[in-house]
Amino acid sequence: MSTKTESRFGTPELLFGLSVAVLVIVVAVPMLLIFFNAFWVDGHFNVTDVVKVLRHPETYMALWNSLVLSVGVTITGTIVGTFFAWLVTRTDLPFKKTMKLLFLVPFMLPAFIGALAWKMLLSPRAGYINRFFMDVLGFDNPIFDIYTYAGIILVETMYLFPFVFIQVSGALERMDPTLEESARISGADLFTITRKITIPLVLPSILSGALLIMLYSMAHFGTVAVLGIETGIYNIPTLIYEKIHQSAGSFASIRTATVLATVLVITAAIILWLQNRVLSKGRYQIIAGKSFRPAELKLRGLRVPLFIFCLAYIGFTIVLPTATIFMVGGLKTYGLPFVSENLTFANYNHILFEWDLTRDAIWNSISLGLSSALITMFAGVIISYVIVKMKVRGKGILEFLGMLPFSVPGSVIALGVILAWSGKFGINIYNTVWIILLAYIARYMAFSLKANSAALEQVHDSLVEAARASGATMGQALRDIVVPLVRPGMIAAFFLIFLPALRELTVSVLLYGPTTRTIGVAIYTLNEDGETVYSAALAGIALIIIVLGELLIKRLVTSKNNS
Amino acid sequence: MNRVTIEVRNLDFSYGAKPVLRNINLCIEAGELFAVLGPSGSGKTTLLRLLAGLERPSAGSIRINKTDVFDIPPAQRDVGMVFQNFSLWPHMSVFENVAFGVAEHHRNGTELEKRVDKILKMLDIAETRDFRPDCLSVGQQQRVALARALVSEPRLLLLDDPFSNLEYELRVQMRHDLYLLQRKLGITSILVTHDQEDALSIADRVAVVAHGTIQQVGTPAAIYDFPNSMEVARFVGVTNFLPGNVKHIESQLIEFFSHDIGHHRWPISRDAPSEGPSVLSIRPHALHIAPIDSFRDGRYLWLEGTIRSSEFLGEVVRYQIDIGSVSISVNQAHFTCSSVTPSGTPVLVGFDPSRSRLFPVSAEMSSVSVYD
Repeated sequence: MSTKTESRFGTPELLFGLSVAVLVIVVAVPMLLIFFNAFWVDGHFNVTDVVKVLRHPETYMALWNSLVLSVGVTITGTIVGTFFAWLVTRTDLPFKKTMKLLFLVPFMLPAFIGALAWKMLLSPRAGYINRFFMDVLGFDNPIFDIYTYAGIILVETMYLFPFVFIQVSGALERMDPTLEESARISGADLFTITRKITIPLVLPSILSGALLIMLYSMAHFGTVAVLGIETGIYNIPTLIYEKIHQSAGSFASIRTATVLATVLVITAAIILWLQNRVLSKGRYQIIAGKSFRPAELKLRGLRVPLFIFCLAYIGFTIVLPTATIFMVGGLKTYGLPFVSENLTFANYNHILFEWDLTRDAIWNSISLGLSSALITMFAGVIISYVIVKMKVRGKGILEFLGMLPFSVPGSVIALGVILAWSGKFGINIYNTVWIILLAYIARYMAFSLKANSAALEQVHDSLVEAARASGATMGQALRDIVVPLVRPGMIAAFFLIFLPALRELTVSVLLYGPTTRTIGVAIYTLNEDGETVYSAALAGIALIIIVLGELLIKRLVTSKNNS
Repeated sequence: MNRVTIEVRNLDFSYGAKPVLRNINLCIEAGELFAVLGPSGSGKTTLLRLLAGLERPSAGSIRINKTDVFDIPPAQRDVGMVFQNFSLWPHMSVFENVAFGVAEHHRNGTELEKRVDKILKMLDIAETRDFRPDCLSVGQQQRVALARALVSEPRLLLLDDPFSNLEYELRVQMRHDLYLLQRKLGITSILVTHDQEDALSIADRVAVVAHGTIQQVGTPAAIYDFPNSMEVARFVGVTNFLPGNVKHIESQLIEFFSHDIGHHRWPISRDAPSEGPSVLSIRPHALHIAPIDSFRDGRYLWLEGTIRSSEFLGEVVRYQIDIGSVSISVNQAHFTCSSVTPSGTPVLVGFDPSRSRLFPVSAEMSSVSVYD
């Protein structure tokens, strides 16, 4: 009956071997090469040189800037996120549901496009707002200089606060209202309840969101690249970029980059470890059994002012920058006032239909996004199947390898890919799309594994066993039972990869060649080259593509749920 | 002693446009252990929340010791409440949980400590003092919740389905302990539950709630023996319903007719049932089985039927007996070595009419099945 009685080395082992091979090539080799290059000099293990690199003022400053910026963004983002989360879950703010959705919009928008918009608005000389204050209102100095720590922190906060917002509003919504009610009956006032019950209970969620902001900000390239380089504010990822890009692969600069990358990986690992601890030790079982609506705080006289404040915040952080991007994208020349005779569709027409550089970029991003999403989705299904369902020894390695990129910042992955695939092993795909594709696969594998293993864990073994007991072969059981149940996870994985890949900058900016710009890279380099107007126009088109993509997912997800 | 009476008058409550409670009237005596029994969604928990002050009534009044409490916030109502899922604060130790209730009023450290320790000892959980709630067994958590509710010596104890998370044996023990504690403290207590055994076993009086209204109030025995509606009869205990028609023959004599059992007459002593379409409700243990050819004792009404199936339950054998087109349950006490009558056996089923109840049925209701 069974064709594989000799199951010493059957399908499971084959799949296992294949999965390990994929992850080793895509993830492990590049990572190891970074550590190897950082610590191995002339055939010797060498720490003193690493210390020397770290004490070099340039690297030292980059580390310091990364710390200052990420701590700053973490503090402001946590305050903003917690405040808005509380406002939309626990008060009688008008239109709370809509407001909640609006506060999630910044997640959709790429931070570097936001940074670009703020540069156009608040750069000390050319920024439209600053010019308005100086030229029209007669101020002597610009009211705000965006090329500063404060400016960078401000812009990153706008796009990163949703990490805390999502965690905290989720915790506040799930929290059993009777925990607060029992305190009310015990005679505590609202202030005491907030201080002694509510805040301690949501503190793990606040911390976990804060650590996510920190992780993201630490590894964030775009905003610092757009706003910091002008005045010499480098953080770790932008310095890695500078080293790789400007010095054309000299040994010293590669070493500096690998040392910086090592620091980044270690910091990220510490942050993730902390987050894990916060979540596993501190998360209480506070989920409501039977839900009554929690008591809403009556804002009374503050209700309307706070509502206006929220609208102003959304207008200021979402509408204003987006509008700026589209308006500047329509200007005949950057710096002209926004009046109708200065506005034209010619820029959009040019970058969409005439200019090879931008047309290539759009094509590259879409094809890279689609192919990396497809490949990673299928590889992810197979690897998670091995991890979740198969009883193979050593699958812990798979899990570790697969989740590794999750804690490894994009610039580190890009650096590792450069080290591995620019001729070292006889394969040189540097400056081709293939190296970007490899890097994307490595970067997004963790997303796919998460989505797919979550879906596979729902498929209990007994479902397959029941199919087998009803006479199905293993293949039929997989096809008729497992695949249909896992399909939503696969679709989720596809979009979790496709959309971020479309707007990717951090990885591709380190890997692009003359014809392999992605949308993100094109926007960034056009801006660097002073082609601000085209940069904005392309950014506008990118925003349209992203919003359409998000809407498409929403539709797919809701039509799935309704059927 | 902290004994209070509670009066609820014409109480209405709705969530937005959805009415939850309608025209509730209750009078609870000082020191009484009063149970509110109802299926989930009947509004019983809402009633408790209204008494605690966690919700405000849409209409009507609540008086505690003759004082209207409409404007009194929960903190000043001097009530203790045990929530269904206990609602212990997971980030505080048992001591801190219990002390929280008093801490706001009594800042004197040693006095507070004494008080908390005393209540922990009384509830037999002194050894859990410094543990976090998630380290405790469910039974211990229940006691901590009770300790927290009682530590400030409230005038009124509210219990929201406190046994629903417990296993059967623990539940039996906990409710007995609660009963003893309530008797010892003499505190007026209201127990909300969906479990008839909880309500019937320890409460002084029970209010049956369904669809947001009170169906019946009475002692456990009165509710069980004399349910005032089909709803209550069905919810409290197990019963058989036989649809038919009632006619008054004389002042103290009625006739019940049904296609399945034919015409039967019996005298009535209590409140006379109304004429017209009705259902006859008989509890399974009020029926007994006799061989088909045995002597028909005149004190009973006898119906002829056939055994369809039987379930051996230990103390009793529950027979399912077909009579005409209906099927009824009969509990027959089981004695050592007595045998189970096989299916298909024709039998006589006898009952004392005074142990049955008649409920009027509206025309549209009689067309619906009454056997659900």
